[in-house]
Amino acid sequence: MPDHSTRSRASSTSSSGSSTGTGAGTATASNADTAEHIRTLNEGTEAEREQVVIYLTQNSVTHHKDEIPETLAALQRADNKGLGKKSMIPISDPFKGGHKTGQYAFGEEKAAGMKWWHEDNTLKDGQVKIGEQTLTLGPSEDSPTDAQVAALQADWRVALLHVGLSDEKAQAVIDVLLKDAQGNAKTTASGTGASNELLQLISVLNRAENGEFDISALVLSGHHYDDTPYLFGESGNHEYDDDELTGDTLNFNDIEALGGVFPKACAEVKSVMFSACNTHAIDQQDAQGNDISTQDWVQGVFPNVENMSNWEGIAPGSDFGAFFSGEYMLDVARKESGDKGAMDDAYFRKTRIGDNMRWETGTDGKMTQTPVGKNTGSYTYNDYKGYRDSNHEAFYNREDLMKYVLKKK
Amino acid sequence: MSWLFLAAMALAKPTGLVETLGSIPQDAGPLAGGTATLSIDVQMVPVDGIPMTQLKAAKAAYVLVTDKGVQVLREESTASTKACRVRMLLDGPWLSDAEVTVRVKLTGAQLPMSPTVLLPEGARKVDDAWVLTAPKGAVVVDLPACG
Repeated sequence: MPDHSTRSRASSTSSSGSSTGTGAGTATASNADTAEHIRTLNEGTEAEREQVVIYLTQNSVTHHKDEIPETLAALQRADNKGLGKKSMIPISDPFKGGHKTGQYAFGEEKAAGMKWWHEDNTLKDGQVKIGEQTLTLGPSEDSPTDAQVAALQADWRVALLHVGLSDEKAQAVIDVLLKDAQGNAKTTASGTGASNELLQLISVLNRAENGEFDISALVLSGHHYDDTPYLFGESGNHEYDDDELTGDTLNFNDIEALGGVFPKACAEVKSVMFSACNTHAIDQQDAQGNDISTQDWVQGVFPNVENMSNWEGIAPGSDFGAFFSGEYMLDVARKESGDKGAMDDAYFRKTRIGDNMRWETGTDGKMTQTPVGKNTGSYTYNDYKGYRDSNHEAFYNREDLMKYVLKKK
Repeated sequence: MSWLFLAAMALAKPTGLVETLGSIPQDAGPLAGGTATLSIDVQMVPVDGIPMTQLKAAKAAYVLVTDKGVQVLREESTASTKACRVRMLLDGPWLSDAEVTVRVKLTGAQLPMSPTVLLPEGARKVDDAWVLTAPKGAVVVDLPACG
């Protein structure tokens, strides 16, 4: 086992995992202070709110057996080491094997009242049944009519209200996701196949906006082509489901748009991890249409972000990618507990064909790349078993790890 | 669209690399059954101090039996690639009750964990193989500890 005792540590940590504010810039800290003050008055301090990692994966084939359990094991280790406790809400299509994540994002009762197209073969892709109503959240064919596109708004409204959004928030989501700049009806930027993940993400953003918890970290995982604005999953025959209109494509433009609807939730996000290939180039532009970097986009959507990680080149499969996710979340916990050098070294840094990159927000408020040295004491390898100490064992079969999955009260 | 253009498109937008092997010609049918064997030779090579799986070679081999009882042999190989996923195509001019036995064989270095083998719906495990009826799609193998 690696020796962790040589790393510098803060003298004290909060068991709630609250941030000590390391690395936040002056302007950033000012924004954060104002937001935090308002939240404290209404919803208690950050230390009192549950800190949550949202783990959104578009690729549902093996993540439940590798990346998610290892990341949960890292959260468990951070908790046991006194680095703060965080929980996770996984978001995905049903995993291969059938386990569904709607119960965590929506709550068991609401999830039980929904039947998605994956579960009912009378439904088309993008449809969900709530009660006796069949809702269409995206087109199942390449050329939807204007009337079909316009009808999406009413169905999204029913779905959004069902998962707990207020009338006002539901309308705001519809305005940013289903209308163009001129107010004309449009489909979501995300593909139809990602409508269930998108609704889960909206649900957790809404819950965080209402003060139920803080989203302290967001992991975005899936396949990704160079210089494209979407992550994607796989179809039933394990081919890439990458059609931008009908496929399992989650579009970064939708996430950005949701940032405007859920500003408090996004302001609490301190760390963003892309567990996906080529995420150094995600095809994003500023208001003038100029290309912007991944780190600029992340700072635009999550104004108080302190840490980001992404890939230049090809990211590894889920079983090896698990180590990068686990180590990153453990290093985030170390940094939040006062170890300012936590991001400076890592056991896991690259593959043959891809480099994992880390970025931190400096005192000037700018996000710059952190040079990462090799340190085998930073994490465990354990012959590919990691801190989860197993191979290919689903997280939902691990009682010890399930303690770190947040269930809706 | 030219093959050159398609190749350029593929190279311009890589994500996890996939090696696709084998195909069963439509004019081989009708087929009453057969076997499909995907052999994958691997090695472990350190990357940044961590042993990682690399694909040395892969071969898709088919023994196909026509409705007249004639055996048709066909195989296709690839040399070492950077792929971590290997896909062997199973689509073919199968009779509706054709039974096809699918085997996956790994040779070379011992892997730190088992590969993930993804099969079309309806696959039945029989000893060290899977049996499918008139399969569509592919058997897909994700090499573990690969990147």
